Amino acid sequence: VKTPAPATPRQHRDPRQDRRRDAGSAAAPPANLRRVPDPSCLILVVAELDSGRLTRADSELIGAARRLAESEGGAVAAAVLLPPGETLRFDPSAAGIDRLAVLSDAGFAGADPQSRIAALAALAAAENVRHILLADAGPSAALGRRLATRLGERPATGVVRFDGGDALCLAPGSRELRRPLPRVLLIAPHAFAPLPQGAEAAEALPLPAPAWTARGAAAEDLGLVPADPARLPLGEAELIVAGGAGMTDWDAFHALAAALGAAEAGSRVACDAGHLPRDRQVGASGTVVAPRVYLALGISGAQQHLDGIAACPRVIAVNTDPHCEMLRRADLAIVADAAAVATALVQRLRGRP
Amino acid sequence: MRVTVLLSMGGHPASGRPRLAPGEAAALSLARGLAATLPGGCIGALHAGPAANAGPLRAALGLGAARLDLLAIGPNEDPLPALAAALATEPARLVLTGSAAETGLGSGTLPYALAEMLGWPLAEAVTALAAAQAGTVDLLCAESGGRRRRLRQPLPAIVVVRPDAAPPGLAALGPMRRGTVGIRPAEAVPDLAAAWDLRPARRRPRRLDRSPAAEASAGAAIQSPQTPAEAADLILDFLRNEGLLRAPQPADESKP
Repeated sequence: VKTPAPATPRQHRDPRQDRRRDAGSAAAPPANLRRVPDPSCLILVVAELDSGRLTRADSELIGAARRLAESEGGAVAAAVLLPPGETLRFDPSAAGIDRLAVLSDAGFAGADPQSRIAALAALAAAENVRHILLADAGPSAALGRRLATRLGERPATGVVRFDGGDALCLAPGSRELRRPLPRVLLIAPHAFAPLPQGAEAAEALPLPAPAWTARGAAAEDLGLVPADPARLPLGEAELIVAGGAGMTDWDAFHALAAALGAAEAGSRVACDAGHLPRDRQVGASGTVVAPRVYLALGISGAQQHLDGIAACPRVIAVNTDPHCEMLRRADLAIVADAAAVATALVQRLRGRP
Repeated sequence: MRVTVLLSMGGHPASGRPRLAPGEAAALSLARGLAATLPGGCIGALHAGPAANAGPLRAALGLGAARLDLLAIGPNEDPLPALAAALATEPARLVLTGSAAETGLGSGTLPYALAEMLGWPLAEAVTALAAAQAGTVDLLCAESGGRRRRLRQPLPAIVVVRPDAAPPGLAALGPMRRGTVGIRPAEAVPDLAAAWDLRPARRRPRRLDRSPAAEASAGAAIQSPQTPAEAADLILDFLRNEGLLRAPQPADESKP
């Protein structure tokens, strides 16, 4: 027997809008507080932080540390290395941190790793730290290897899973290495889930900062070198300015990339037309990119192009066609002529004090 | 001055075919550029591993190395003590390495352990090398966001080269055939890692939130500003919120 359909009229709802709404409501106050009054040991996470906030990699590290703390006992501790003048801009309790060590030193501002290593080694010696977790990507990858050799350890690198007392690590040639858990663990990106938002807050008690003395800097720092945006590797860039068929003023495009310090890229049409070299093509048959922000000027958004920016967290699109796919994908979607907007942007950037 | 490039055993990622690792070819390329500017500059390649590895690694001779020294150890022995002993007695004061091996564990930790053992400083993510005043080299190090930092590094030092520091080159056949390969026995220390289990990775279910796109954009209201200047302000506000509008960049008038 067929039951009649409910009488409510069918409504079209965009599931993407739902997801967005969910993300906004997830900041509800936590229901209960996790307390670890007398932990048997600490699982220490070295947070990388981006302008005082936890990065996604940091959240994944906390997720991995919580897994270890559950299987081995102990509390999740986080060490944040703050250069003087910077402040923490996240809630350690909501992030699931049981103990927080805020270490501050003028040496953390520079590129030289010696003071970071000395501070972390001192913290590891002062507290009962069983494992130290760092991200195996970005600056933490090198810091973790340096710290491990300072502690006389062979770190587990590219850790993707914990199994019993073993760590499973990525190895070349699609292989994995199973080894006993060492003290220093470098966690592969995207391998562990961050703690679900608003799950269980932790009490985030402060840890006393130990004293340390850093070795002298090994090299003389001659400062940052201005990079040529046209030659900045697409895989490394934080900001990519991309042009497509709707971009008619390529002088303004190059000037904009230079003024923003962004890498230049283009759609297949732009590269076919010779406006950009072939190695700057973004898309399925070009480079797959994931900058922090992708600024698409006059790109309508062919599927092959959208595939190339699938992992990009923020997209700005400027196009004259209000119905094009690129505007639907974008976080900031502007209906305008791309060349005119590029010119206006260059004027604004050059006119800044 | 002698520049030593450390070689690991390479293997093609798809087929596993033995080869010279591209990252170490990039290190050889940087070494070649540096040695050409130094009086009496010469490049040596150094490898610790089974003697049979000499075959594929001969390619280093075709990429500028004057000779290839192979410290013969067994497949389950630790290359670290052999390399440290060889470098402590050799006249080399600048040692270049790749970032991580293509075979074995590929953990990228050997240069750090070697630096700690020799007591030498180490610089990583290096994309360019130039000779500076006596006893130092100028390095260009990659940082996040495509930034490059210049360092003046006193020697002796270990320099870890980024794999994309130099485009791949072709090995010259003549020097590759003619070049000298010296094989000598070295101290054999069993490798702790030989007891660890290395096997083909098991396929695991993908985590659903694996890609950052899961938290990525899901469309926004489409805006139609009246003038290009308004549109520019919207974009600049967005970039400022993302923290990507740093100190004003010097306007580059030289660009076309």
